[in-house]
Amino acid sequence: MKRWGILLLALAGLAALLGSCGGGEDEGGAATPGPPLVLPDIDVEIDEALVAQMEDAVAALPDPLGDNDRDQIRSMIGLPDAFTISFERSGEDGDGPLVRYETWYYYELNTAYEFADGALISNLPMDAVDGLVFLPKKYDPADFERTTTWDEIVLMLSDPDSFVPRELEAEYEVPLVFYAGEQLLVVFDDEGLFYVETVPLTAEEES
Amino acid sequence: MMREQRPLSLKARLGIAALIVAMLIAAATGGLVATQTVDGMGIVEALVGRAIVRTISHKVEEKADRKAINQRRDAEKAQVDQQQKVLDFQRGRGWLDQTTHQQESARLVALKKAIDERAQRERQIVSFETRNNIRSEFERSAKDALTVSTGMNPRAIAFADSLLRGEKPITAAIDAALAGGGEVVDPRVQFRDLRQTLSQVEEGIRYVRGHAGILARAELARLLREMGGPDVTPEEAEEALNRARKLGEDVEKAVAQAGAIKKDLLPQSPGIDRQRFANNERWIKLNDNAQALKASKAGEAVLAGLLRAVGERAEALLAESGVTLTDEQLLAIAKEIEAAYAEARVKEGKVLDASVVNIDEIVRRVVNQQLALAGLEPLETESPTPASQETPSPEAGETPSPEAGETPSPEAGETPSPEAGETPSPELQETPSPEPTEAPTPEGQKVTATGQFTNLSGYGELTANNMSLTFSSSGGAVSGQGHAELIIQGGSEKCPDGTWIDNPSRAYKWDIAVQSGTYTTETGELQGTAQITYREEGSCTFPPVSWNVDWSAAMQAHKIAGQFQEDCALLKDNLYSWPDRNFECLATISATASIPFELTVQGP
Repeated sequence: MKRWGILLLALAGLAALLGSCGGGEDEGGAATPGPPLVLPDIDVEIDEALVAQMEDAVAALPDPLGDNDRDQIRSMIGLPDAFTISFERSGEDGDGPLVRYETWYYYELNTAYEFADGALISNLPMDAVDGLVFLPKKYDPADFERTTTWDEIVLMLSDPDSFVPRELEAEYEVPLVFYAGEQLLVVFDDEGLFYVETVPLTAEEES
Repeated sequence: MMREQRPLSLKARLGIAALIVAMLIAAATGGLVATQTVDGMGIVEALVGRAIVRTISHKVEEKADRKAINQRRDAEKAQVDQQQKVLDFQRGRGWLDQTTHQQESARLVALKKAIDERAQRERQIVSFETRNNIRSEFERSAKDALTVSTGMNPRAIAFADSLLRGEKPITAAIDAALAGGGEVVDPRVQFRDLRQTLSQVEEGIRYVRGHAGILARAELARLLREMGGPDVTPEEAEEALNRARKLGEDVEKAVAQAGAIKKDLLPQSPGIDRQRFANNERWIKLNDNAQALKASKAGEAVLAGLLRAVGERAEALLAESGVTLTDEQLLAIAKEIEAAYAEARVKEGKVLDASVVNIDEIVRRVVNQQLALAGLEPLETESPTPASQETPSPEAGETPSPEAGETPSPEAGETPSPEAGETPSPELQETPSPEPTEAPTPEGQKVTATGQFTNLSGYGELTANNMSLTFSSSGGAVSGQGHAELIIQGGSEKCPDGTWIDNPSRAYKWDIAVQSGTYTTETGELQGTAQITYREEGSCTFPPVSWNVDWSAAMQAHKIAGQFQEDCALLKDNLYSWPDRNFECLATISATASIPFELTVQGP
């Protein structure tokens, strides 16, 4: 079987390009392609023997659990080492359905997965990281929802008193509140949790 | 009764110690980053605030842009509606015939639709740009803010500072635990606080990237068990405490090597290279084939990511050797890794720690096997942490001891975990000894000695038996590996899934990896530690099991005779407590209690 103009990054690339080159949202709030994608025209043969070996390899994974790609990946290879979450409104006037965008980083796999409402939209290579990295592993993306309050986040922290809420000055007329510390950055808007990022840290080499 | 403990080599301890130093820093800072400053609104807040101001401006711009787009759309559609009204008026007056009216009306309907579609596209672009701008702003702001905060938070830095200044908080804690103040005090009470500290360290090790902390975690877990169990006698507890003291001393010794851990702990922004594989034809082929799988999209994604990661690592490791791995071999590695995840999930529950599988180690092992097949030297082992690799800086204090300056032990960094995966495919597992070389081995040159385990009889024919050691003729570190296989037929066996197999055929396989070793030229003695990994395959397959052993040998002329000291009784006591595992000591099939070997030095 031969295919022309392959879905080059069907997992990694296609959706990646959606994310990086022009993904938007349609009226229903789902991610949609932006500008036309230009993909290399490379001939690839589907090697049935190779596919059979791949089936065998995939079968070695733990059984996927969960209703969406995100939860299934989590069930197979575990929690991400770091992640970002943003909640963004779709729709014509930014008042459509809420979309939960996530990027999960797996340092051992050198792989980042991006999701929109749990659906895998990209599978991307991370840059290799050498040296000592302190991973923010005490956080679980499942603990962060649009409705998550600061009081609930406090329960995840070892020293919540060191976090100080900061609000934007009144002149901006936007009630955003942000907190940073313990390898965590969270931002709330007037509807709830707006942005989460867990931050790995590296020990800088002495120059 | 306290069991005899096999002492870890100093190098191994330093490897562990370096990890612990790092983790103590992490544990002591309560998460490393805190943004509160004594001056209230500080630079951190200003930076984050600035970013959010930008974010707001993006949102305001987006809203304005959306509004402008919609206003233009509405105005244009109003114009079209006006034109339609004109057409309707003209038709009503009979100035237009019906056909022309219909044609013009259809054109206007299409025009309105086109206006809507264009506006939608424009809104999508605005939305996408805004999202990207917000994201990039936060990436920048997080980096700036957290960099500053780690540099500004005195509490976060204090502990690291104390270590780097040469203070000995761990030793002090242990001394306090040991000091009885002239009174007879039960050590189990004395070291309660110390135990709590070590528990925090053990927990903290989870936060270090990668698998390298597993040995340290195991060592600490063992210490904690020995220190706190209800059945531990005071003598046993005191012995454990003394070992903790030794570990603490090693930690502080490692501080000299940990000079590279600076005060600043910087946010590590995971870089994503969207183009790195865009033209990698091999991966494209593998990925494209992965699309033909019947597996879930998530399964495909994991496999595709694994193949990319494994392929890239192997390619880098083999870059200078001229050796390449086939697609099948890459898949075999991926399968081994995936099986390791599966086993880890069984062991750890539904929510895994993604770092539980040491992908680097698995790839490196297979690469070394392929290098051995090609008659090439194996890759050098990696140090467990950068800290242990660093040459002590002059500011860091003491002059390193000879031991501290030795090649970092692979022990902490290269230990395959028992859950590190199932047996690789046979073609990957075969590791014949390199062909003997006739090259002279002058002083200071690499020496390779190859041979076999001896006196292995057991209950069947060995189908594989080889071993090799490599070291410098001028002395120093020793590396090596060995492999033995035995085919067993008959009896009955209970598989991990609970089923019984009658008259099973199974293969016992032992892989031995020398983890540390030293060759002393003056005495001709070699000694060190090694890890034995046992796999059982056949009618049913058991998870692999690994354990550590000491080894020693002596070289005379071109012959090396030695043995691995395998305490099978101790192993049975420890490892049989693991569920669903089955193993045989290599010494079980030996005519002696140990595992003897004889090697011949290659060369004159």
